[in-house]
Amino acid sequence: MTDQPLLSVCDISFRYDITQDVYALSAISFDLNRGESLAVIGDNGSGKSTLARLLTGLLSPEKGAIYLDGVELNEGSKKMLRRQMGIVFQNPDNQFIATSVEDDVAFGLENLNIPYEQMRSRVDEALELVDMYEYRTKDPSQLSGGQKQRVALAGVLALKPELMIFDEAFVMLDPMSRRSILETLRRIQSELNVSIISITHDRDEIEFFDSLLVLNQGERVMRGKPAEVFKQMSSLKPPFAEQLRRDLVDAGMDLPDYYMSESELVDTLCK
Amino acid sequence: MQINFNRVYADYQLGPIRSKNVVDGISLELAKNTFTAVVGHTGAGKSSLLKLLNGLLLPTDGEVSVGDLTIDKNGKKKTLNKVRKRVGMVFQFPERQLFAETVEQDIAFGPKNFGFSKEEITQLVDQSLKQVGLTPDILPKSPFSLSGGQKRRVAIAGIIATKPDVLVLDEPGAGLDPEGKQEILAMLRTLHDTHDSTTILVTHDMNDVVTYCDNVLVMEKGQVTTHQTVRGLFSNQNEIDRLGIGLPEPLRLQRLIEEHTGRVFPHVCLTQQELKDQLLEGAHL
Amino acid sequence: MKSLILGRYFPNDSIIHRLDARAKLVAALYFIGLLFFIDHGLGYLFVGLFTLGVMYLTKIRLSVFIKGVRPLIFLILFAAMMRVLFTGGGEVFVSWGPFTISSQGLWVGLFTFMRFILIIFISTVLTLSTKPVDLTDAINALLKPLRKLGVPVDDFALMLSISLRFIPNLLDETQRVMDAQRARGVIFGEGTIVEQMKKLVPIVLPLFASSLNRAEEMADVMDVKNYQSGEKRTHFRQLTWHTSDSIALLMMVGLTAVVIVVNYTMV
Repeated sequence: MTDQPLLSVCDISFRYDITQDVYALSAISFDLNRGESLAVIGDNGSGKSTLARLLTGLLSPEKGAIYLDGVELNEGSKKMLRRQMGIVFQNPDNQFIATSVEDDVAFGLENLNIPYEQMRSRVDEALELVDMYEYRTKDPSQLSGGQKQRVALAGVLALKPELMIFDEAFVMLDPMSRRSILETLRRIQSELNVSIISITHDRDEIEFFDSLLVLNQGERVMRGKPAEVFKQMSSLKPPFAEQLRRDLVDAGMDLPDYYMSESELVDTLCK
Repeated sequence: MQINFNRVYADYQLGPIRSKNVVDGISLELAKNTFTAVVGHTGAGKSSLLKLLNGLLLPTDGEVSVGDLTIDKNGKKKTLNKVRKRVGMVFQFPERQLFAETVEQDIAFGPKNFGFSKEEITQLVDQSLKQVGLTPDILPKSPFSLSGGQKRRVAIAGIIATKPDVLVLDEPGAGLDPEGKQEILAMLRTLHDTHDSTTILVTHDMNDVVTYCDNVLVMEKGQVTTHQTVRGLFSNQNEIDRLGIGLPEPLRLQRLIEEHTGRVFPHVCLTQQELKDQLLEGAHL
Repeated sequence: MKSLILGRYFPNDSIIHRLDARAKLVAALYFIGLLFFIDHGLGYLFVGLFTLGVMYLTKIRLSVFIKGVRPLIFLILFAAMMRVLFTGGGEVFVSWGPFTISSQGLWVGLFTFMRFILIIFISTVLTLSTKPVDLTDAINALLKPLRKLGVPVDDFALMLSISLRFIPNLLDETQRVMDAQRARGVIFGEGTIVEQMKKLVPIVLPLFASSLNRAEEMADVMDVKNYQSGEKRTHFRQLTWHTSDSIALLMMVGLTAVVIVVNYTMV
């Protein structure tokens, strides 16, 4: 393994209608290292979902290029590169292809022509990772939204990917299931050292990620650690703990004036 | 308008599948002008409870009354339609029910079905459009051409256009970005306050419960396990644990701090403001 | 819709449920074919008893099977009646214009009736005791040879299983849209035909929109997961052949022997 980043996005632009001058994304560049997790945030219309479609080769950039492991993503390499990445989409129902949990997890493996014995063990392993092994023979109508997203996650994990992409994958879940699936994800990431990109508008998801990429109307606003981003961009609504910290500082409490994650704030307050 | 459930039982039927007693002997009373949250896990019977409120589901036993109208197992079509006019129902992802050629026609659909006159309808469309924060230039557009947030507002306008006395909302903010969600909920709360309506909100998000609701009703396995004020419920940690429901962010943080210091705050904090005040008073020290 | 039994799966743990879907499919098709070669009452008695035996082994109540026949009973009676009226031979009881009721005709009518009933019973056994997805797999396996001729058998099987998978979702969605429009004051099942047709628009259009949307999203998922039409792929779902499956097929051979013997000896 070399030092080169796992993913390199170089100056990509895209518009849905080439007769018009409206760009969904313009001149976006960023790198992602192995084992790093990145949250892409921005409001509706910021182009963040377009980015997910470009990264997975569902769309091709008009300008610029995307490199995964040093290989450019294009029609020819798409199939090969998709063995190294997986994506979970927003709607839990529409990405459940098969008639049972384990069949659905196996779907991607079947397409890669993986022999049965290997499939069996990979499917079981992936389901264990997301705590859904007991549900392996259930059909989708017997599962909650959160459980279906766990199955989708297992489907991606079974491919043993280096990069996992989540396209607003947790927004349709209730806060409790969201928190628990994010915790599962964090555990998996540290176990497998896989890279993660999560596209989201949920501020409370942010503390689960190493860095943030902020998009606005198709343009890159900034990239950095949560602390840097929230320090520089006072207009961006921060997670709850940071909101509270700002409030407390304004009210005159003696707290350090920089971004804090929830656990940092709790530690500081309890000193 | 007051709502009463008197020992109500109901089954759920989808195609050939029938589940018995998804609503299992519920009795409850929702007083006039209250804003009540309904919470509970998936499959606890929340949607069935909502459907009982306007006769989309008929009880197998017991009766539901909305004001002076009563629905029982032989609900008559005439009564049902009267009830439906009284009870506005915003389903989850209500934009999925849009169908008309223009936004105007879609909003007018409900009022037309309920027999309002032409002049009344024009007025109702304008009024409800304003209430959901949209401008009249959207009226001639196709609902399918709008953004997600706009569609949601148009769909809600189509419901409040019939001037319901009771408004039932099934996760009206689901899938929207945080700002969009807050705007919609704040707008619905304003509507509640200015129209003296009785509002019922199904939600999974306890932040919504503490921000917008007065009372809360917890459902489990087709039964109401508790029905009380929001503050009353969240003040009782044992009950919250027993019911397996989440905490609003401020309270969750409060509990984290308490765990850390081993000292319990004098008050339960439901909002950011309350938590801030408690911390400034040194509740954590 | 509630009364339709044929084509539904009835979960149970029985020897018939446990049989391999391929064995059941082949046996059922063979059995139906065999019915057309029986031309003696004793033959029908045998296969009839055999069918009842199989039905008993599914551990599903007889009333469920009867329910499956009910919606079709008039059609069957009509077909049998026609055979009675248009078949001559043997002792003639009544004759009126082109119609006759003869002893031969009565037998033929009875055979027709039996044949239909048995076809329905045995198909019902097949679908009640086999998961739709297993049935799809069985069809896929049996059509495999056609792949060599360029027939997209795998695509067809996947299409079938996806359709089956989404029937509950579609039902659910239909119910939701109907409820939503009812809540907006639509009263279904009232008014003239034209009015009733008009009321379908607020249901059909949203359903159409959401189905299109669903199809698009699913296509994306399949694309990203590298599904490619016509490519060779492995199968996670494995059908396993047991001795009992071979025995089931051997019983078909035995049944054939009985039918042949009856046909030739009992003239």
